[in-house]
Amino acid sequence: MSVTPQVYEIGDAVRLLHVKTENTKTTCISLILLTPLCENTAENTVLASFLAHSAKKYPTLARVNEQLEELYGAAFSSDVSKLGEGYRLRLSVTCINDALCLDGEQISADALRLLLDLLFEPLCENGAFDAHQLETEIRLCAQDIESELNDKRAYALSQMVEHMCAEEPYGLSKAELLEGVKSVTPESLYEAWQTLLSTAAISVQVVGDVDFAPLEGMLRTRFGALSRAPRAVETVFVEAAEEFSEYTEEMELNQSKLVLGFRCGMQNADDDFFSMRVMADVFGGGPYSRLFMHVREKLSLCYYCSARLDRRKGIMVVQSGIEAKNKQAALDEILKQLSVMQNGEFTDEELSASKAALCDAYRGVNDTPESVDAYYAQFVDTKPQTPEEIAEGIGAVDRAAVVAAAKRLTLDTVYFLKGGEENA
Amino acid sequence: MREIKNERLGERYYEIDHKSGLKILVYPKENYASTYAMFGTRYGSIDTDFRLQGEEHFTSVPEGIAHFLEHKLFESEELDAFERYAKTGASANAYTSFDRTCYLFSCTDNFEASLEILLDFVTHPYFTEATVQKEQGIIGQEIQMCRDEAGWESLFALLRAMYHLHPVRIDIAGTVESIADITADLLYTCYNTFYNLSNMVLCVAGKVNPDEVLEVADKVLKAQAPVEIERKFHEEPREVKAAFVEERLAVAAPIFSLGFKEAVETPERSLKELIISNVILEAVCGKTTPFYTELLESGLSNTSFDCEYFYGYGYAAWIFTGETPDARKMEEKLVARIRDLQESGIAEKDFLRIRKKLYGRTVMQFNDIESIANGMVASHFRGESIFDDAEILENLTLEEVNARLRSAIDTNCRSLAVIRGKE
Repeated sequence: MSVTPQVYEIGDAVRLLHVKTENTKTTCISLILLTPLCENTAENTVLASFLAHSAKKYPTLARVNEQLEELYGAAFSSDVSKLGEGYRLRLSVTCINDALCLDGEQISADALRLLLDLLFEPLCENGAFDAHQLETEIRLCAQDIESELNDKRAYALSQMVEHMCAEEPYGLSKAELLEGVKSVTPESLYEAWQTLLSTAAISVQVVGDVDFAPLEGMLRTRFGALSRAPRAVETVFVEAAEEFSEYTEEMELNQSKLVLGFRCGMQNADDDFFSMRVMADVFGGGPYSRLFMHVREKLSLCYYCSARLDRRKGIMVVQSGIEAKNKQAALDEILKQLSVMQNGEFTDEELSASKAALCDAYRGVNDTPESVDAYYAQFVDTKPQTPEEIAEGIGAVDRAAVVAAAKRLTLDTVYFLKGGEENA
Repeated sequence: MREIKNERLGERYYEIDHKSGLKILVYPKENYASTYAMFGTRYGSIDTDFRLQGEEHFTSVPEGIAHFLEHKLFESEELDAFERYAKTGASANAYTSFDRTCYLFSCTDNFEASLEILLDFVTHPYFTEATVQKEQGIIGQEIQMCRDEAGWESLFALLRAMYHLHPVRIDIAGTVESIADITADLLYTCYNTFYNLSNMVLCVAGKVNPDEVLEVADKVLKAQAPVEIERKFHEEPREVKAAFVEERLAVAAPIFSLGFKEAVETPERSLKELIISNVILEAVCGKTTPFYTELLESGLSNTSFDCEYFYGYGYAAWIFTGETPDARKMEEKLVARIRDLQESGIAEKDFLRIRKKLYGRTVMQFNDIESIANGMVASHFRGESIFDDAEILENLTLEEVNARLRSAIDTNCRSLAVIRGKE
């Protein structure tokens, strides 16, 4: 279905985005706050967990969850993630449509009320968050950071980024974050919460087949009353790497991980975005891509080898899982395929396969409230582009644009998480 | 063609017995741009010993062959399936589980062309020794990758501890050694047994109508005589094989998997048993229980804590997993919690709240064409309908739930698997 979001300004840098879907079974509501990555990073990390687990009205995790179960098992999530050099805190709830409730309840309004209580009425008094709960939250966050090691692919990726962007906020160090989290105090958390409400760019998203007016009323009242001094998020775009750096870390593993970081030559998130998006996909997107066809299918070096563009930071990352002894062979082949891209030696079929697959994926976004909600969360502080607009932009990319985009890439960092026989 | 409706949800789908022998389920969703199609066979990693009715001997095949076959089916003498999909823009994939193998795609355009590719490549195998050999490197890396995944390793360590003989204890992809024994001939034997249309189902959901599906099915599918497959399972002892196992991997904190092995008298669980099991798990350690809060606040667990009713042909178990500094203590706590609840029974108000939650979660699935298609495949193989859940939930009684809580979980019949960090 074709749906255009309605966008309202309901406060200073507070946006309300409403997408009406039809015949869908759920309503998704998200409160998204975007703040500079290097500011109160540890506190904001803990906040995502603290706010999700209690509020004045629901002082324990069990009470929050009882309320969610009363709302027909409404699904709640809360997380923080990087968006360029912004830190995005997102509280979301998904509930079934009011019309599907067994006793005629209006649970969408109750679900929003719960979300607002969690964000605006946390468990605090006299300028400090609840110390007893904070103790638990600090431990949970610390364990969460440490347990990234259990997912070797994620671990290798974040190690590469830490090396590559060591001089930029984006290279957020896990060790420092962990230290920071452990030193969060009830007072510093309260401060950070106040700062967040006052300075973050805020986007509220309501998606579903739902009566919007009552929800809009509640949102305007709550966010309209905020005293605001918003600050914009700035992201450093490094245009080119001079020469690449190599890092190797050894671990007892069965499979080694090779991760490459490239600078895309972009100056901002919109700079050459469509060409970059297509280029990264022909290079290492679906099973029609150069990396899949060559590193995996022709040379049997790996199970996965793929490329991903981060438009908000202007970098592209290639990830692969290989045998330690094949590192050089894999690296050589990845770079060889990059030169194929830069020399325009890919086929027209590959280009059109990539464009068709990308457009296909964007055209499906509007099918469910969940995917619409997830999709628009990338535009907290920028003008939202509809999936159709992106598909259109991608459709217009030609071979010359892809070659030009590939030529702007420079290899910045090669990171190798080395396992192997002797280490396993 | 039969129409199956659910008035409350305002949903319907169509069930068709195609003349080729294939069951086809089509679930149109108005206003959707995408279509999701799934072609599945009741064949997975546990099918290691089998014969067709009338055959004299059982055939034993190497571990991991169902998954290997899934990879190889994408190839043909000419263009492989991915190259063909590249022209339609569909996003295609496949997976193998313990008891089924499914091939799927989603698309917003060129649905009929993509469906033709799906039906065509799955019904036209092409295996040679050279292509089999090439795949051993790729799957070898997939196996190694999984061996580094602590959650996966912990689950299989537990399954190997709980089960003596049932093939659920073997890794879905097999081992680097077992897949070395796979040959093109063996692949054809498995294919000819399990990829008979009478053992398969095609489920399509989203922007689609039954006629579009039938037109392609008529064109591609040749009629096949149905087969009867006999699976050989060795008698699995009631007791677990080992009460405790430990392995080492590079992990941040120890990871535990605790399993209570259920005694199964019939090979398959009914939908009602599955739903009741989920109610029980919510009551034991759902996020609203004081027990869950206590685990979290005492530091014994964190947000990675999870539980699952784990079941399939000839096996069922209640599994609890997560990170913990003290797996033994965790085991003690969980055993005590289950015994207490078996003693006291689940309270009426908790039961009503859990039932409401599960009703909501059931409704939510009907947004997503991927979960609809998957749900149709699963419920078809179980002989039930995707709409049955909501009705069963509505009519469920607390007595039935408490009865199963007491009869199905034997706290003495358990295994604990722990993955610890390297020294």
